Amino acid sequence: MPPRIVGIDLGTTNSLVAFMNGEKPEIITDPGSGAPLLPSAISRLEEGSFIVGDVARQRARLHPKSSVLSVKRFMGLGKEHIDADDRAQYRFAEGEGPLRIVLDDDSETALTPPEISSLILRELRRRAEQVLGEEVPRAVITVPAYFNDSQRQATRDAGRLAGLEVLRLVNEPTAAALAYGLDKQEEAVVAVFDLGGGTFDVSILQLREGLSEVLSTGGDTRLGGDDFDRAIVAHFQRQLRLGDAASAATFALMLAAAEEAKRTLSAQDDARVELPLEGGTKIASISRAQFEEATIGLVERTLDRCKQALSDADRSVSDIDHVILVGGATRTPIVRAAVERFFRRTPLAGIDPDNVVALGAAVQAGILSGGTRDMLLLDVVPLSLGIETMGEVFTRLIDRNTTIPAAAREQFTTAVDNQTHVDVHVLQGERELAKDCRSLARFRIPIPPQIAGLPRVELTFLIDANGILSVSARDERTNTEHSIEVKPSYGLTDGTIEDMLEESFDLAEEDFTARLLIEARVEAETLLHTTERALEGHPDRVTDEERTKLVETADVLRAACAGDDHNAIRDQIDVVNEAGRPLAERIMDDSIRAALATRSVDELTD
Amino acid sequence: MAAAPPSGSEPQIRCWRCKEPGPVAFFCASCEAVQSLPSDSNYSDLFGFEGRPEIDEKQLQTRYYELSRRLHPDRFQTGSPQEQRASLQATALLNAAFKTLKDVESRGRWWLERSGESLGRNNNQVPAGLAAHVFEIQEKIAELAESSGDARDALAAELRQVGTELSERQNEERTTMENLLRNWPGDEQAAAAARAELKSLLSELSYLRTLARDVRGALED
Repeated sequence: MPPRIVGIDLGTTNSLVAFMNGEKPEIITDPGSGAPLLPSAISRLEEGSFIVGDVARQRARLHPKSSVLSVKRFMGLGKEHIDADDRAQYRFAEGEGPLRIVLDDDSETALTPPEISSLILRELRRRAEQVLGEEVPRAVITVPAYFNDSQRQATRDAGRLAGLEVLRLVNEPTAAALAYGLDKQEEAVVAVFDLGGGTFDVSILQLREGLSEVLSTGGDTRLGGDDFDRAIVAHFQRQLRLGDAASAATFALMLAAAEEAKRTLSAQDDARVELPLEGGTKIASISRAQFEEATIGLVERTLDRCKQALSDADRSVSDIDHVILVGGATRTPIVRAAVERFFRRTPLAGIDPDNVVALGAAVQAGILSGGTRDMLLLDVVPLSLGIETMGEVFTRLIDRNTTIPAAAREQFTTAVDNQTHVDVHVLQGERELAKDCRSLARFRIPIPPQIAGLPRVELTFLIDANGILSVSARDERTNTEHSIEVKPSYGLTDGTIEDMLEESFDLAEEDFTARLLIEARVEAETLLHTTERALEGHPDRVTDEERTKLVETADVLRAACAGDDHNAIRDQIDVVNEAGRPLAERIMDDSIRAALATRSVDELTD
Repeated sequence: MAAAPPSGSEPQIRCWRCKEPGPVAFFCASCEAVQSLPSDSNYSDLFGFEGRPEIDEKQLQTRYYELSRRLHPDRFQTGSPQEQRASLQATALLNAAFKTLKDVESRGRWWLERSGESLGRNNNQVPAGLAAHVFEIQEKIAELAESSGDARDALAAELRQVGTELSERQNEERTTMENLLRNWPGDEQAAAAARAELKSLLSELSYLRTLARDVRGALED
């Protein structure tokens, strides 16, 4: 039997891996914790190795500079795409070369987004190998349907860096439809509404006779659940009169609190959260109505994209047979209600919106390994593709929503006598001017010097089933082929990939015990930090006896962390927690009282 | 070009695998290997419509799906690199052919170009049959931008009516084009007249579309 192919959802906030267990796709959970989701977070420990997942996300709160969250937002981007918000969160390496994120202020060891993603993929691969008890060298990875060529290439490169042969990049909405088995239906038009952590996608699919056809796709690579969290943070900042300036660490803490509040609001009308700020813990609150008001603009942006996707697909709301919800952010009741109102039908929600894409990826993996399901995915290219022509104009060669694989040809000649080359600038986008489109690649085709207008060079653009572009050029007079290396503008060439593979950094937690140890240490560190902060911030709320006990037990915990017995650390964590309980309770009471006081003042002045 | 569009002529290619010559087809007649065909292959031939511009839409769709299933690179995951390349190129050609033939207007343009003529890139002149109409509509659009209140509502209603008329007219012309392509004459003199009609239909349709877009744009503002 050939090696198994797994399906991977490489998400902005969380990633998952799934496989076909007979006829049924199944999520591979973490062998230790049983968790299905792997948070897409990485953190570098002091000694230089990396941790991934939940423990990395936890560590990121205390060590934001050593950690990267939501790296998918940066996949395939060049330096020119980085905005002020991004710079507020991360440092980027200066100078030539691809976009690289600087960890711990050390520019020497900066990492590219594909490298960071490869750490996450390696962890998923290892998880799969442990559970399945066999090598897992091949995978199907999902990407937002909206991803452009660079972003797709970056994803494939991340797979290669993780030692995975990426057999197919599948669009996330298509995977979702596969997971629901909608391909088995006679004929259906399906809308997939995918609000993930960092990206929003909407796609209109047509399924018939075992064929899935993407009629149109739209979305926003910069709109997601994270933005809802940020909207809540902004609300907290207004409520507590904090101003918008916050240190990276504080912002990370507030984001975590906002996420918690968002979850609470899915079930309740009000949410209250603790904000462990520099000046002491404060309580912030948000009601469902306030949440709705803070995010109405975001919801409307998603609905605008839905309208556009329908019109691109030449369909109306009444043509839609099913609506599928994907992404954790679709659990938010106001989002769900808005989708239901817009499409005038109850969305399908039988499969966990967090799992649905990975399950579909596993189904596609099953199809590619020659499984029984007779199904063919026909995807489309999400953005028009073309070249820059005279006057810095963008000339389209392949239109948006063209079914892939697709090819286009263009003939070139020279404008000046004895030109020795033709420069080609490949672009992707929907705007009229080259400068407003996304630059994918530049290359130079050598030609024998001739009189202007005499050379005939034919360029062929070929987009494969993964949506990835390759270019070849043929000199028609000499009938010679040039193979062109399309150097993606995000800067990773095949050469750099090989170099990176050689380098291959250290992934920590190679065995289970080592991993438990790291987890325990990270947790201990977090606890020690909050304990210190509580003692400093509230010196009058603790008795001398309590203080002495806390300081002593904390010292023992610090000593335990230096050793390598994870059980000893865990036990001591419990002891410190117990010693700190009276102080924690008093601080909590204080802040609730304070929050109530602020509120009554607000209510009086309103 | 004096000759009628190529139909029924059967150029031969050689199979990359068994080297046998065969007609232009996605699969080798001898060894059934998938073939990458020249990009200027007659689209209509690929779907078995004998190189003619007359297409049965339902059949086109069915054959497209049949061929996709057999040609798609997903089917050749374990194939040789040559097979994979051929499947990729063949599917790209199939997709382009399907997209072109499925819509009557793009099919008309394709047919005109195969007949050795083209609409030309600078097709900006107002087609004679539309000139008066165009002037009237553009005036209304300009008035709408400067009007307000009841006058504006009345103008908007008029423009909406114009929009409906424009789309009706587009549908009529598309039907006319469909009929023209269906009964494409074999006689060269008649074919030349048909080409002239096709050309004017294409240019009117393209202008009507621009006009309809302007009207929609004005109403949205």
